[in-house]
Amino acid sequence: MRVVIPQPCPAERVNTDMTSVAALERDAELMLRVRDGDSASFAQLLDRHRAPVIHFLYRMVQNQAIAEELAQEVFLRVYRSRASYEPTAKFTTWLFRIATRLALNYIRDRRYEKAHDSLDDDPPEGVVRQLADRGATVEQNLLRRARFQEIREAIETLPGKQRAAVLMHKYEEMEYSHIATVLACSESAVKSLLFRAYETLRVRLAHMV
Amino acid sequence: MQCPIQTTEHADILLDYSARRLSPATTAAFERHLLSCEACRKFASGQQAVWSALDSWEGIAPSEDFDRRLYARIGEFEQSGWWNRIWSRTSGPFSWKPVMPFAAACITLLAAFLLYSPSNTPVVPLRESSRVETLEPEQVERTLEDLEMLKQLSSTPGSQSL
Repeated sequence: MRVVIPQPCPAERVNTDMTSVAALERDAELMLRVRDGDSASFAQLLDRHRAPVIHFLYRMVQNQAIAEELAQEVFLRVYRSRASYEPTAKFTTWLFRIATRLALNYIRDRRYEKAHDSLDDDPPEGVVRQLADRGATVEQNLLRRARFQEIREAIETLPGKQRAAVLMHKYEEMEYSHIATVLACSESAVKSLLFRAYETLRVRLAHMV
Repeated sequence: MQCPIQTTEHADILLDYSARRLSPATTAAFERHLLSCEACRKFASGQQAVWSALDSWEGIAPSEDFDRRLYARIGEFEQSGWWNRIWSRTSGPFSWKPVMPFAAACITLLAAFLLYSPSNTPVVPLRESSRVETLEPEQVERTLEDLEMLKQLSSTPGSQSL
């Protein structure tokens, strides 16, 4: 079966690239202001990156409370290091490097502990679970839960670095070079990590279509 | 188009196709290739399945008090002593990892120096049994000759009866 995939036209691509460059410059500018003691700029940075960092960490450690704890540590480290900040690399690279290191350390330390919260458990206070469709029937919800659980388990089987590479590639839409900088490895090593990870996932998730 | 499965330098096309990161021209070329390549077609459909499955895993909404807790931690940090601040700054982006092997090497060298420095090494007299005997060249020669003789004896017929 021929798959037809709509692609953005070149003009759209240029606009997207310009937007991302502007976003990067904005991050660096905000961080430089934070360095100079502007706490409002830190609040803006937090607003821009809170959700992506928490989502990434949640998918890495698969526990909301721990993901938020690690995300707080990420932003706290950003704040602590503000005085020495130099805009030599992308702000998001630095941010995700800290987040990845914290998550990998957590995974390494808790390898033998099954600490993830189950869907059947009551979520912690103030936590809102996002399921795809709240207006679905009970059967649809059950199916969705089972599917969701399978995805989580499939991701959980991946080694830490492969998991981080997949999550950054899939959900953060990072380029190979960007992922390579975050993981401190070569671009070809990232491609190799991704190939192995997706191979594992293909075996485990292929039946889900 | 060269088959991306067979050429490693084009292998990322397979991943980028599902991620919709290919340019329109490369997408069209790859789709033409898919029509004739069973292996790539199988890979692409499997990858598409994974991609769709992962799409359904949505993120979570951060807790309402996330910012409050973060700012409380920042406040604690600001109020902590200067030593804690310096320590936490160095424990942030700075890693102790590269320093550890160097420190270990220094400790090993120091220990080796203390143990084997000439002034501290006690002189233990060698016991008679532990002395290494020096062999003279003639002695070695004689032994080799004896061995040769024994070899010749064992190879001659009738030596078995001796």
